[in-house]
Amino acid sequence: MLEISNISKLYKHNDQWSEVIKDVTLPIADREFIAIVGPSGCGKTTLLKILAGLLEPSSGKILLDGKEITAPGKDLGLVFQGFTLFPWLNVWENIAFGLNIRNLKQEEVVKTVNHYLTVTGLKDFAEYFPKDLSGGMQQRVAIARTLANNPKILLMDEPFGALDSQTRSQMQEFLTRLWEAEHKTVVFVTHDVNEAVFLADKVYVFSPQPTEIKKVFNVPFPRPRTHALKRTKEFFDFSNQVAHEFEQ
Amino acid sequence: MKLERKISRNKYILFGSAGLLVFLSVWSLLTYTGLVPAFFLPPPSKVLSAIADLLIKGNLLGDIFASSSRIFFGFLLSLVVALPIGIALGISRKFEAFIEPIIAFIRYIPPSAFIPLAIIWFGIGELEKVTILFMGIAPYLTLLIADVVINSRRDLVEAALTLGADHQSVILKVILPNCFPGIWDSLRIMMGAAWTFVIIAEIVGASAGLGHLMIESQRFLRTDNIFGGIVVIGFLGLTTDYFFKVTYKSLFKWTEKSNA
Repeated sequence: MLEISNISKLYKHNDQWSEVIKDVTLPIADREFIAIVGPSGCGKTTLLKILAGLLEPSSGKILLDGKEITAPGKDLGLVFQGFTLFPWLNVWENIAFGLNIRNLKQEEVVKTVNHYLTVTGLKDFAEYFPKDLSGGMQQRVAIARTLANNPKILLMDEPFGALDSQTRSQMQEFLTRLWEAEHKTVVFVTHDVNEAVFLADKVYVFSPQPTEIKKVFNVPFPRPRTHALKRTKEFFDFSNQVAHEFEQ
Repeated sequence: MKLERKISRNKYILFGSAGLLVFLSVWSLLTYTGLVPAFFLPPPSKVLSAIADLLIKGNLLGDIFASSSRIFFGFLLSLVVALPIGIALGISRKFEAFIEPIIAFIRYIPPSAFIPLAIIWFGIGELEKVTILFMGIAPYLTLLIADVVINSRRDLVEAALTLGADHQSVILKVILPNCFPGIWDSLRIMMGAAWTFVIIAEIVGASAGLGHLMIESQRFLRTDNIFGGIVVIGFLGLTTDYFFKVTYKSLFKWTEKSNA
């Protein structure tokens, strides 16, 4: 259980305080896939960095299973919007990074890395350096790297934002399949309403600065979900409802 | 002009030799026609024969060895000192505030200004030469390394932290490997400067070395030998530069630059 309680974040800019996030409270149940949608630059990334322990909130608390999060660590894995694979490590070594840092037994590392190489369809690319991979593949490795570390919560900050629309669709389907198999708690941030509705169980719509929760939608579509869902009338109508809230 | 990313190897050789050819033609034109007297600027052939003479009758190999070993030890000493300080400077703002003013102060003093002091302290032996090199190289190298570290990617550090890395692993497993190519480039740049400093050091109170060879040649008005020395230094510089370029490519295959 991840509890976000009364989080606010203020920044000082030219001697003036501006509130980026305003009193956000949000309980996230275990094994829940939630999406946060909001316009670009509305402080979604800031909130996610606070959740990951990379930024300190100005007030409020983040509790993971009752314990306060004050520093980044392996329990809260973050997949970034930009490409953040370690360029000097090959795909295999990138996925093994977190495991090696914890000095796990080599057999266990090999087993876990191989599992995620298979799951992400990257088996043939184990020896490749990040610079030789496409954007979509790099993000798949990044997801594998975070999942291999077995975090309690998977935070995703517009992970497909830098990809072209076709790769993006493939990645969404890949993530749904992955989630349906592994059932992690996921907090997925995006500005794409369709993406949020397709992936999540619950969609939180955030308002622009200062960021507040405007509305929560429970997504009614059953799983497993495939891409065909996106072409149904129900999906279209539901997305429109969310988008309507989002654009107001 | 178009901003080009890469040209083919053949093109590179073509343009490279064309540049060299232009240079040699102008040199030949000025000298063989008698436009410039040979005493001031000897023709290419005379410089080549001077180098051959120095190799056979003179002590050119000994001079090359003397200069190279001074550079080697001066460079090694600088690296041993500059690497930890540079990395610490790049990581800690407090340490930066503590030490940067001192380094910046030393950096603006030309290494030749240390020659009189170094001679009083260490005599005119090897230690004095290595000291001059160290005073010239170490401050610059430290700041270059610090700059590489400061500019290392913040997002990679954040990624490592969310994967459970502690402070020490972030430095050893992220910042350092990420900075090695930049540090290698800094070494390459400073290697060029090292040749400048070694010649300066050898012009005063040396009994061997390329700087000594050139100041001796000036005393005996052997312009051809001076040019011979210049060409040899140029070639040695080219060789070390090539060494750094080739090793960069094989050490850092993961960088975009290694493809170029």
